[in-house]
Amino acid sequence: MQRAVGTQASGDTGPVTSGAPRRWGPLLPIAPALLLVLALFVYPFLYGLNLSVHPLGALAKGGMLANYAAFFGDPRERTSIWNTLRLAVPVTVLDLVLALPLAYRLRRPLPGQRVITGLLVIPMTLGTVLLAEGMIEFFGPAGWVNKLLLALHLITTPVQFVHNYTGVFISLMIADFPAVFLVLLGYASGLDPRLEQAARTLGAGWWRRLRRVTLPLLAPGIAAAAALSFVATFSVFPSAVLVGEPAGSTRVIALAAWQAAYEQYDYPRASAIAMVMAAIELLFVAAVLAARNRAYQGPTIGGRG
Amino acid sequence: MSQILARPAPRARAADGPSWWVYAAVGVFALLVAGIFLSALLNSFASTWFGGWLPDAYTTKWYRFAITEFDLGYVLAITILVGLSVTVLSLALGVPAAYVLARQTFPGRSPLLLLLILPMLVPPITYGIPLAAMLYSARLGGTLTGVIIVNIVPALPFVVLIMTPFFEQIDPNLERAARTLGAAPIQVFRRVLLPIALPGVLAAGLLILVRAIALFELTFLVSGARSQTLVVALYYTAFAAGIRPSQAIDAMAVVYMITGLIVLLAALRFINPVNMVIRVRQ
Amino acid sequence: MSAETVVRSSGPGEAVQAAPGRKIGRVEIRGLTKRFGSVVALSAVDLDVHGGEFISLLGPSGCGKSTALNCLAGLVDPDAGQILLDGVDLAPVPPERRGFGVVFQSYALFPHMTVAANVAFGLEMMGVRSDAVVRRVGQALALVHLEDLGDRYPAQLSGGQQQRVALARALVIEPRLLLMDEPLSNLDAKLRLEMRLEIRRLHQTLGLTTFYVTHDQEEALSLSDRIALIKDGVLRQVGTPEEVYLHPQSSFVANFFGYRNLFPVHVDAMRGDRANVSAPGNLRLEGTARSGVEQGMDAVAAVRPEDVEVLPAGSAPGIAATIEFAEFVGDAFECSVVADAGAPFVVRTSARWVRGAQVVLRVDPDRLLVFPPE
Repeated sequence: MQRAVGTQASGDTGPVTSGAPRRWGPLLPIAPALLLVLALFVYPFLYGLNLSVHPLGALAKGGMLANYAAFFGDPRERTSIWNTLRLAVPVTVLDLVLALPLAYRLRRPLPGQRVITGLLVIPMTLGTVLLAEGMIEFFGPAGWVNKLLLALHLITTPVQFVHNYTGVFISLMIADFPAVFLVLLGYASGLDPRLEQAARTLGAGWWRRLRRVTLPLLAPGIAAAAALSFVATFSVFPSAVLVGEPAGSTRVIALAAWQAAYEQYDYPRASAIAMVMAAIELLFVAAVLAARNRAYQGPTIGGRG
Repeated sequence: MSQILARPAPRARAADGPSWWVYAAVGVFALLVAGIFLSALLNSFASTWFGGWLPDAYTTKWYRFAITEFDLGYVLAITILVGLSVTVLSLALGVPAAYVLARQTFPGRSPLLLLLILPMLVPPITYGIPLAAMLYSARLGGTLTGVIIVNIVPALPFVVLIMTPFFEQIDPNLERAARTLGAAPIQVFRRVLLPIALPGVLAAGLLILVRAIALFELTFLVSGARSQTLVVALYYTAFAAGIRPSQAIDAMAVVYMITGLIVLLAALRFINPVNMVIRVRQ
Repeated sequence: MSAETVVRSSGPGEAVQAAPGRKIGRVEIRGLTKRFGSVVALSAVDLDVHGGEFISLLGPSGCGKSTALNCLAGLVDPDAGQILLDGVDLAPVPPERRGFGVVFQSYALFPHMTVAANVAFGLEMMGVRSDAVVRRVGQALALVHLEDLGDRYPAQLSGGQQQRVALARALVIEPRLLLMDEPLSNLDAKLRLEMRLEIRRLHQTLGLTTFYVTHDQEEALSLSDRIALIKDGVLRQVGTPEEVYLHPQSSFVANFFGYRNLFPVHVDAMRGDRANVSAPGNLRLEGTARSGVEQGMDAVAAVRPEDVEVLPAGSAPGIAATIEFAEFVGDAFECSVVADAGAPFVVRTSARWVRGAQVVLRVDPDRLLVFPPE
């Protein structure tokens, strides 16, 4: 049952309120949540921002942006951005590419639908820490993967899957997939199948239907999934330590921030790094949203005008 | 003409193409995940495992070890307590907010929605470190209360994100009908809104519980020795892998996984993931 | 609930006896105005409705009729104007205390309650004792012929059955007014006719003052004691079905009741209420002018398809035209014709005319109405 919400056309009355004092009363229930967000999110965020422009110690002479300058000036620190992007972007893209056909296909029930969806979603309970821990065994030199590959004569010596980039990559792919899949599934099942049927009757083959009808309609979902995925993977922390090379190729930016705070006790610098993280993530989200708006604007439920 | 655009097919038809690849893909994925879990599981029951396909011998001593050495029982209790508290509190705050967002149009609605969702879009570290500092200075650092408070921040947006479209889909005429039949707003809430919204609230609650158990970064920044959740404790022990036997670590990991799995399966029984449409009116 | 409520006898189907001269459910609407942002939904609407009257609010989508209903129910606060019920101003009364029965277009049945629970809801809100609730719910369901479906859930019912539950739920509380918002629009044609009879029967049995919102003129004509036509938030004409059908006062109303041929004309001369009008292409006609029409102005002429006489070309004086196509509609043919001067007409004939046939059109001046422009 599709209903237009809040329309002021002939059928609707607008807000479900009555009586004289209507301006702010009905909005009251939202206040506690708002207060919490303001107190425990906005304020700390601004506090951190403020902290980041008041550098400590030797950096204090460099002015307000000294922390940022130090971060970008130090090659080891700078590289952490690259290390993180090197993980976040491929994982996001690959998970999207893998999840999209699955979600599209599963928008209409297959036999065993709930089992399938359940199986794909289970890694959500694992979380990155458990995944990392289990991977050390499974993907380790004596683990089953290597054993299998050796037995099939695909390799001659065990491959190093963990404690390097590959380990973090795999763990992120698995941990991130369920969320991406769920978001895409939600949007895919909201697609009005009659739109694609109409395209078929108008002579469009599967490729053109995909390109001209399905993908543009799914653009909001893809954008949402991409944003969600990037935010999650860019903040990677525990798996970078447990199955990665925290001192080397997987020294991610979250780790840099953590070390600044808890190893060097330089909170301002840590905050600065955190701000850089936030900026990059918001930039990405903004870019994705802009791209989506160019691809398609409007509802995904079909045109009944 | 209306025949062609008739009701959509309820099942995937042959015209959709072969579906074996779905099963194959899912199978591969499931195998991977199962493999990871099984490795940890088997290892946790292994007295020793020296590089063969299977452990050399089995024992349950590692679980007993974990319970005593890692205080597993206590950590598990803490985890459940934190999870439930976070769930209840974020529902209590988020559900009314979602209702208002769904039903009312007012200037500033979109920015307000964005603000409430923002904590999910920003890395926890950005507000986590200063928030941890704030909690420490309020002498809540390292306490259970602190851990609960800090975990509400990312949970609240999740509630709003799920419940707002949920409320939007409830016919507002139902509330209007109830009012014309003489129900005061409280009665409308109790007799009409709540019963209809309950399944969605429960589903959201279960999902939040799952996430709350798995959430790492914030708890990591705030927890003390006596207020660690399972995932943080796991991290600490894994970090000290050289000192701790890996079997004990895996025992802990298995307990953690089972806990999460139980909650998730409970959630999946009641909700179809397809209904968790994360779409909000812009 | 005050003592002025409708007194129903104990069984369904028995006619209501109201004390003569007693005002039950008399509604006065004065200057009702409502704006949504920059859109004016209602503009200074004045309407008096007698007790027990069935009045339809008829108009196209978006004309404000539903807004008017919502103002009556108290679900929307008007920006200006008053609504009086039996002389009492309703403004300070919230919807839950107005005691009106409302039937929504989407029925709005509570999905988590059985049919019986749905119908009982209003009574529970009133604090009626449970044995009385059971009795009255049974009576209400019997009234709408759903006696055996009390334990079902709305989702298990057909559209027509759901509609009747919505009716029962509104009626069981013995409301002072009945407000219905396009209750039949979601039903198929056959069901719509059946339910129309039901509604008529219920009104004759219960005698409740009823406001009925619709965009279907046939419904309005068959059900109402009076019809109020609304366009763009303005009340254009109020009258009995015969009055509005036979004597529309504007081209808008005329168009609603079957005057399908509307075309712009210029008023050349007037004698009394006779007007000589002309249209582009040297088309000259004589018609009856309605109020507001003066000599020399541009106006709109309207005539019903069945009032246009179609004769073979050359057999009589009239407007020369050509048949475009003819549709068989059961009891006649509806033909689309184009006058040589260019104006299109829809006409009804008993004979099947061939495409391209040359004909002559004649209209009785009494049947051609001339209106001021909208």
